Amino acid sequence: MKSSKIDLLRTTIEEWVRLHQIDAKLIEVKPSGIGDNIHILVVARKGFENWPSYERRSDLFKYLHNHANPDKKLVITLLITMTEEEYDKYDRVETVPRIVFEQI
Amino acid sequence: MALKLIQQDAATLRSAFAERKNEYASLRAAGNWAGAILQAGILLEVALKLAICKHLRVSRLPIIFQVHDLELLFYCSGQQETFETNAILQDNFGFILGNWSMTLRYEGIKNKAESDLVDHALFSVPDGVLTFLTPYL
Repeated sequence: MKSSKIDLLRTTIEEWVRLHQIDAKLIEVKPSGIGDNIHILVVARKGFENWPSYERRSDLFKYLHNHANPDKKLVITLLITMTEEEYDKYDRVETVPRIVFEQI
Repeated sequence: MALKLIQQDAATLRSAFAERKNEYASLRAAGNWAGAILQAGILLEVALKLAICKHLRVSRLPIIFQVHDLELLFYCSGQQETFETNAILQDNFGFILGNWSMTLRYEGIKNKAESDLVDHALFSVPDGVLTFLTPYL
């Protein structure tokens, strides 16, 4: 994964945040570790609270594909947008190892 | 040293997939939204393991595939190349990844709208994740 792709994604997310007047607390863009897949997390202090989760996620996904994916090679396998309150809950859940082996 | 394999073979997984799909439909019909969402992810997990069996042309998978990691399972299913060129499929799969994990076992209240979004991500035509995977099972 080229760092320029990660940088382009981050810059594009920052543009999207400004466009929607969102007060971002955290923008995280990182390779998932599987192929060229990418995971994105955006946490907002303000701006998400009255915007349904699915709609804001879908809006950002489309924006990224329209503005940061000229070669159609971008593979975003996880895109999460959260309010601070949602993030506090998520943060606790994600302390569990990502790959959970079955108990059989 | 012999390779350790998952106990269930592809035929058993296929039966389980059909059973889980019926259970998923029953939960939705009964308005049990939290149960339906949990079952949706389990259904996709079984489908992906079936797709890997077919891709590898084996009847039993090594135990390294005994995981709930949907992204890893999708990557190993042989469909990643198609996935990379289909933004709608990526969006649907990303929605499932962002909204499903086995930790849902410990959560209760979900509503119809949430279940409908998961259902759309899995079964919409032509780019729902399970709709896409069905020919490869």
